[in-house]
Amino acid sequence: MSHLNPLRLIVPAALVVVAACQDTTTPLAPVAARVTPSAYAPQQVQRWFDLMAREGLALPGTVLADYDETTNRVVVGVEHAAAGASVRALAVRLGVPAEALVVREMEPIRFAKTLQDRVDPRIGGIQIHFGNFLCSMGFNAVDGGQASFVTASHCTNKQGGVEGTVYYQPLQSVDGVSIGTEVEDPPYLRHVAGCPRGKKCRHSDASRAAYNPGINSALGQIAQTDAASPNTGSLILSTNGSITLSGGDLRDHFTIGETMNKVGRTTGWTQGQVTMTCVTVNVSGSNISQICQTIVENSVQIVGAGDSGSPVYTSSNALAGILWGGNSSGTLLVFSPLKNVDDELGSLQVTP
Amino acid sequence: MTGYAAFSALLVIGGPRVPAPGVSPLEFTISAPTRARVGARVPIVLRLHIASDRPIEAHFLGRTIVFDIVVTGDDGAIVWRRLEHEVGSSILQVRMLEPGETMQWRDAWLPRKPGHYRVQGILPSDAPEPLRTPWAGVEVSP
Repeated sequence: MSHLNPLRLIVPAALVVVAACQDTTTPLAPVAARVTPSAYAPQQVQRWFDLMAREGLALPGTVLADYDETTNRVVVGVEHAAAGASVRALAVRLGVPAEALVVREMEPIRFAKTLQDRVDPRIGGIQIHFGNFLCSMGFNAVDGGQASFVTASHCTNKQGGVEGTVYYQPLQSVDGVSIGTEVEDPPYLRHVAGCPRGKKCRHSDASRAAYNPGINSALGQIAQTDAASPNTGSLILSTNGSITLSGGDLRDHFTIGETMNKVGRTTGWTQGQVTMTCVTVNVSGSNISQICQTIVENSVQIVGAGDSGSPVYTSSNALAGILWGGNSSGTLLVFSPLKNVDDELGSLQVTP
Repeated sequence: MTGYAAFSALLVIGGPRVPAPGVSPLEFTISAPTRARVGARVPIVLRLHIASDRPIEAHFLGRTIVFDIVVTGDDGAIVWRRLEHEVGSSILQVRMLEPGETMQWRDAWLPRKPGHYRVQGILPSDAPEPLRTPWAGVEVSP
């Protein structure tokens, strides 16, 4: 059983410390340093702990229970004062002396949320699910007054053409309420200027889905991980909020060497440099070519399976496009510039 | 099941969420001839066998499952990679595989010089590391 020491407890910062054996609220400090061990036999306090853990943690608003060997007291963490009062009343009923009990207010302990979890409101970079496939949400957009999100065209039931693909977030098995339906995905055509012979082409691998009524989304927001630097692989969402897009970058040619970022459900926040701009790319294993795409590379992995649809943005947080592919080692990614997405899906409002 | 969580990597076993330590419910193997000649195609077969008595949720790259094959020379340098210079979509496919099910992929390598080579199959997924077969040796004569 661990000591409940604020310096060692891995929870969000405690809000207030309230000790039942003291009259006043004290600032955060190690309890052991200022509290005399209770006068009761440790075995007796242990039995009280067993009682309080079994009965006390059944009360609403309780967070944890501990037998603190250092102070020889039972410690119960609660979310708010009302829960604390309930715990103290229970202690009286169970015959646990107030001197042997510490009730401490603290934030509830939650699982760390990741890009692959349910995120509400919906923002760019989080996992989406359709059929037997997983992709990443690109970015939120308003088109003709319709709240929407953009992802890759191949992250629909059929790449090119509207089939009404139904999306879930993060998974249908986790949240059975669909978040949106595909409404726009122009067909791939053979007779497009610049399209290689025998191929079907578009200038963007992008589609748009309309949010269903009641689904919350945050325009201009992209998920932010807890990583202090890119390419760490962290998928854990930052507790400091999300990335706010500064606007849309409507270039289709980018500067070689320019740094680009992306956030996706598989490799999180990654970053690389533009190595080729406005290139026609054959999509492996298909008869599709994408015209005027941008290549970003790094020496480490920056893209993985499931990152399709990820938002790509510049160093100044301007939305630059939609990621759709990469090489087998994941050190090279390809994205469709936002300009091409706009040209094919219509002008999209991407920030409030 | 909470779904395709980060730790799920390539595999999630139906029922219990974590496979028994040290026991892989998947057998990913490679078949290639031990001897070959320069200029003659070397057929390579990759097999993924479900060695489990329960269904397994497996994650793969691509709408059509993407697999890679690498061939290295004596010095370890890659002399051929099936997906070298290929760019494909980064979609993640989720498949429920039945006990005893076997999936198979085939391709061929064209040796250009005699020597001793090693061949390995690779299955990318959303795991940090792809699934790899053991190495197979191929002796190429003139």
